[in-house]
Amino acid sequence: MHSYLSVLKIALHSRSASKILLATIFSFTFSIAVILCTFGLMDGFDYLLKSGLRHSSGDILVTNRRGFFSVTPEILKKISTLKPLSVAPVIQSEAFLLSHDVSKGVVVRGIESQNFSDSTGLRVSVPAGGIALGKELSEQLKIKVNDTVALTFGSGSETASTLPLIQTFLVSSIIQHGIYQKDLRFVYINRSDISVALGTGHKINLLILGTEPPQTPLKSLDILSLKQRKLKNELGSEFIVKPFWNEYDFLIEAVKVEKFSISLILQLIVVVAVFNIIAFVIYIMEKKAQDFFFLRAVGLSLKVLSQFWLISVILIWSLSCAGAHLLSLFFNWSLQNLSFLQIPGEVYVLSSLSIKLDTADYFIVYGISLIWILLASFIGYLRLKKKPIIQGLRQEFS
Amino acid sequence: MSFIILSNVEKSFGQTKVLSQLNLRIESKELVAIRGASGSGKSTLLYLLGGLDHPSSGNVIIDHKNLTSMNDEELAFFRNSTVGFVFQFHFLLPSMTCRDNILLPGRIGGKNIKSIEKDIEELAKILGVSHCLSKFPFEISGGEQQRVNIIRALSLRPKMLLCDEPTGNLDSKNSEKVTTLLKNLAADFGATLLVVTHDDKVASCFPRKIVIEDGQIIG
Repeated sequence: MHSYLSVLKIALHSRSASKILLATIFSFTFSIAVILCTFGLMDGFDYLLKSGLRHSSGDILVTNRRGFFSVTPEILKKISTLKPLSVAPVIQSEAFLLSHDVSKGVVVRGIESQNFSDSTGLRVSVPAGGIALGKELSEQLKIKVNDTVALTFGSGSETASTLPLIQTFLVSSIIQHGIYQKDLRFVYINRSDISVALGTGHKINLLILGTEPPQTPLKSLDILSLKQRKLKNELGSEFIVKPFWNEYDFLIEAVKVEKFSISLILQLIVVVAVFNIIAFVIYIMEKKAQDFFFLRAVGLSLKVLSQFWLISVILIWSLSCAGAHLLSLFFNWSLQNLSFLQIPGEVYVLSSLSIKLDTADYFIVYGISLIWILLASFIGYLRLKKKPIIQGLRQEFS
Repeated sequence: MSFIILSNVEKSFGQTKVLSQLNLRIESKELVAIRGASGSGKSTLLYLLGGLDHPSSGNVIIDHKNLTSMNDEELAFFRNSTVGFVFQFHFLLPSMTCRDNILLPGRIGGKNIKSIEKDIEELAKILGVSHCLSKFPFEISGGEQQRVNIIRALSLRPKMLLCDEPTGNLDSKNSEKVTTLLKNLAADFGATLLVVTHDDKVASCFPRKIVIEDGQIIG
């Protein structure tokens, strides 16, 4: 330890050496932070998109090619082979929502609050005559809880089928899916209300199945894919069985591809930081070579020198990694709290973004940066190692 | 058995032969001056004895140990524990006080610093540089720097003190003082002293003189 400190003291003597070392650590910190944040944003996007979709679609959606269908004991039996945690029968239709003399096209879902919440994890409470609206919709139309709004369905009663059917509802809650389009377009009413309005009787046109605990993030989509294919085979061609991510499948796939290609491009940033490290190593070599050679002369072995080199490099790397982690936390906080960093939901699908980093991300980013820094410093160490002590002493002190 | 045994030692740098078929024996606690003109190979001989360089052929045996068969770690330990170096340039590191500079070999060797500090205080008193210990090298004179350099070389009580032109940067008065000092200290510490010099006056102070010319011992 003493010998390490002595060598360190020699290496860092003079203000310029300390300054260059600090600059090196900062540049490495920023490089790692940029990569971490980019990975984190992509993973965050992927995570929020999936959890947002699950909050509106459960795990698996079942529709019928003919539209409305009855949930017969036979269908329920086939569904039960998946051992779903809950099943939510839904009537889904389209309508215009009227409020304050403004109308907007919306997707209306007739649900039973309890089984819908159990299947999707989205807490929606809609008593008879009540309506729950998405957050963006309520903000755009300036609708608050306890306001009255009207829904205009496409067809009226049999005797006046060309006329629209208008019904009023009391806003019972404002909900948030986390997906901008859903928060802007989805409204929920009691299933019996829409059933009466549309005259569908006991029939429904959408079944939402919850097969995994909705509050637990999915580690992999593979299990659900298997379940979806199994149910598809059980129910036959009359039914369409889709996983929850089906409607944004292209986005999830795009993020995956983008993450891979960006990770390659971001290596350039690391290379720039590595140039800084090499510059620092060269500086130390040029300025401190005579001191190192003198230490070798009075008994510093190559083993101790290489240990010093390795410990120093790992210290620089560790400090940079810790700094990068702190920066990514700060950036995540900024994303959530600073208005100028909020993303436009109509472009990015999601209402807000956050950084989500898992162990694999840290492992990849920190691991690759460690390899880079070890390679860079190894060059400097080799130079010291190759030169005989006496040659070094003579050359450096000549 | 002699303390230092050189048998058929040769040293070449590329095509240039610097030392040729050297055979030499030096006894323990001997005080020896190695004299020769510039480029004669006297410093190279000193570096071979100090384990700072390897011979191209032949054997260098010091204190029953064959330096030519040692690996880097063993040589580093040998340099730290057996040899004290006094170079022409003092090589005091400007970032450290004189005390820290003196303690450097001890720290590198993982020695007990407290016991070394006692020796340092005594040596500093003898050499008249007690007031310099807390100062940085640039705050003291050239003569004082060389004396601090000598204390550093003796700090680990080496069995062999190797001095490469220790008086090269000093005037004749200081030169004589340092030579006497080195001889007395080596005797006190029971160390074998080898001083490389091109100065006949310095060499004449030693009971044994080795003269090197064109890489060979001629006297």
